[in-house]
Amino acid sequence: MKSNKMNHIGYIVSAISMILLIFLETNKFTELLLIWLFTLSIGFSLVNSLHSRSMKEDPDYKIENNDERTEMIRDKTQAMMSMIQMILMAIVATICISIEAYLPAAILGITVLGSPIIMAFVMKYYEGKY
Amino acid sequence: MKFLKNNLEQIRKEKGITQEDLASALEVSRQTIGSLENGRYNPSIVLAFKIAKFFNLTIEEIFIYEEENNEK
Repeated sequence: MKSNKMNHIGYIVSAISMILLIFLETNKFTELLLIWLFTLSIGFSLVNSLHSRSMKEDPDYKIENNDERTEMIRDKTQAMMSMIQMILMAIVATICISIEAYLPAAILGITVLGSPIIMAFVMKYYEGKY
Repeated sequence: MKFLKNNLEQIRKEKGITQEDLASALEVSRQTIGSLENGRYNPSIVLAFKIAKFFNLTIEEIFIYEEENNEK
């Protein structure tokens, strides 16, 4: 129910951003922001709708999705992937510094260094829940 | 070292149930049943209770918890 409501909000947001993109004379930054908003909201809503429908209509999909071993594998994969992503981001930040692209290097560096702090906050949230 | 053994494969075969049927009844994938039987995966307490209930046995009759001391 909550998921359906979120999907509807996503579709509305994507429709509004599409209308604004077509009819509004905007600068480059606003245009990029609207494109990003449209892509994100339509993508999220479509994937979520497909997932909800498959959970209702396809028993095999439901079992595969709720299977506790699959969940454990998914958690471990995500943990490994986030570590790999951090390493890749650090490599890209180093490359950015070497080609004197300091702004993207700084953003990437802050993200890499800030991730343990964000992780600590997320952990604190879940510690409160369980 | 601590590990969990189980008699799941033996019990399942005695009852003449396939891995697919058991997986379907427990709402897990067939691979999960295979991994449980091979000892590669330890079930959650909920799944352990579901398995015990399905076979009308106690958890201890299916799963055996063992501690092995490797002190030299």
